[in-house]
Amino acid sequence: MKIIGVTKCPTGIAHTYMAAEKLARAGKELGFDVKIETQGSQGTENVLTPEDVRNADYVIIAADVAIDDKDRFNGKKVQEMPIKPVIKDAKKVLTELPENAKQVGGEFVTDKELQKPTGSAAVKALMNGASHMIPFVVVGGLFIALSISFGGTATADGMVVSGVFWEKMNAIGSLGFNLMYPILAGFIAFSIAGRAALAPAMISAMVSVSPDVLGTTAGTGFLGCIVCGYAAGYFVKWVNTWKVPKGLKPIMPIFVIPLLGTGLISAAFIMFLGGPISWLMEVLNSMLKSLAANTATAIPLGLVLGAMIGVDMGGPVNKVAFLFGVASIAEGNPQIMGIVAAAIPVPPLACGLATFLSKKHFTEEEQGSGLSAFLMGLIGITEGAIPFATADPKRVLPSMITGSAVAGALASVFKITDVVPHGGPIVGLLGATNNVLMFLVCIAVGTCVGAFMLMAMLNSKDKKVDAAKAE
Amino acid sequence: MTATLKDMLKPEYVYTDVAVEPHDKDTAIRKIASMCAAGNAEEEKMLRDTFFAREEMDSTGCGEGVAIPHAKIKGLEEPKVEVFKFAQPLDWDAIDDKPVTLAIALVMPDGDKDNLHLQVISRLARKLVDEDFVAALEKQNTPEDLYGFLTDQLG
Repeated sequence: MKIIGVTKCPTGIAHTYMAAEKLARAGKELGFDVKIETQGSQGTENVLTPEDVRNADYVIIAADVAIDDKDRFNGKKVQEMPIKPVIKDAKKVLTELPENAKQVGGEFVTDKELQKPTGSAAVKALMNGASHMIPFVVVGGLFIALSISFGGTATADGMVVSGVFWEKMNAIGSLGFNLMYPILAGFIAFSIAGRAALAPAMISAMVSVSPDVLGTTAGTGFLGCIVCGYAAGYFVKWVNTWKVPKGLKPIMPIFVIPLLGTGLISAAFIMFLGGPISWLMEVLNSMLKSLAANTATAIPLGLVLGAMIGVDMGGPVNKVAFLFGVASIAEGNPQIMGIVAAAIPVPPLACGLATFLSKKHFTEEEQGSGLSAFLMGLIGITEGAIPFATADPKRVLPSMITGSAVAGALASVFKITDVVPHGGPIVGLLGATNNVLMFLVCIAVGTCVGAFMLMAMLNSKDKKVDAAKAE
Repeated sequence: MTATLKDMLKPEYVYTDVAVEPHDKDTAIRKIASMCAAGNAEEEKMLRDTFFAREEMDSTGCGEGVAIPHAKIKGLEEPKVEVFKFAQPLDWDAIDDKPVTLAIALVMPDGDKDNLHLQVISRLARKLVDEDFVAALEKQNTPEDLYGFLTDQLG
């Protein structure tokens, strides 16, 4: 039996806590699952979550004054009583609860809460970062995509944009695109700890995506930025609990916290992440080398390269795969670049396709960015899928990794080559591949696999929510 | 930064063999207010009134012979905890109707934003429903033992 409750006494000094402790102890002895929220003069502690309320069989309100937020227990079986009998004999109160508790009318508020996809504060912070990032990804990504489509030529150095107009457009797009990283980290942190956390998060995010500062050959990509956002947010939240002299208080959010936060988090990234990232990239590179050395492992090589493209979408793992492909062109073995080029567009194409086919699973914002993701996919900009991966990494990442891996493996089987260090349908259409049709087929199959896997995972999530509601 | 009971409970705030004549709650509370105020007549009156007001809402005799009269006082600078072991058991109208032998008076500043002290008090309150803790507490007979036991148990 699960019992939740609230205790509150007039002064909030002692009896609130005595009653809570009594109930907890009595519950333990009787084998009940008991959680008691205390509303005392040090604020509300051990706060009942909407899940607690939903799962509770009974609610006990032991209070000599009115409690806060009583309507969250609407629809539950509730017993209200003074504190005294609880302190006197909590076991009796608990055992008699099923007889004494009364069904309270009104709408069950917490059930509405549950329907929102945003649950905990941590998830809300992530969603906040993703939604602020979307316009930057859209503007940056589309400017880059348009300039490449109309002003780009496929060369040995990749897609080179020429013509003043297209060059500027590409440059503006790149600026906008690179802003998505600090915006993502900044607004995750902002959601957790407010204004003071913006600077540490945004600057550290820039550090984490700047290989020069980090001392590696690749930045951490969006995954590192998410870490930055949380680190800065929770760090600042913690600093805010410090007791500081009154005179220091006004300069804390504009001076002390930003300086301290930026310094510590950036330093931590450089010292603790630079090394491991370089090491990881080296390990992955030698693994790819050994796979590529053996023709019998063509399919595994395609799977691994494809999966790596989808893992962090522009982060170090993606970068190793991409650079491995680029190096293969120079070595006269452009088949590896063919694998990479087929995998590159899959995440944004698959996310876009999923938003077209299954509108109900995406917010209007996401549906809008689905179209731009799809366009970015056509031009070979994997990063177009980042807003989706950020908002729901548990489902989006596995689906995108699988889709990319499938496209990579197929490209390996059909021996697709690509002589331009760039990916996506565009390189095929520009004649950089040996077999345009098969190249596009590989991409299409990978995209469908990724999109349908994502939709299946979203559907099963819906089923779980429905089942929870039906209980 | 955490507060400890030692910030509020000083060795000289622990009294044993406190004689209360007649043996009733009213007299006991007057005596406690007077001893807590330590000669400050204004503070004594305020403490007495607030203690009584709290007892009127409900007895602070929380069972097993312990009472925790408490008061929140506006303008008080430092929170105080004082302990009184009575020479004879008193009728405190306690929730379990048992006579009270030990009173722990909690005097807290009102409107104090610093809730570190309240955290210590809430820990003490939680301890007071632990029968083993209370039984051990009642065995302490000298001011030194009482002080040592409480500060040891509550840091």
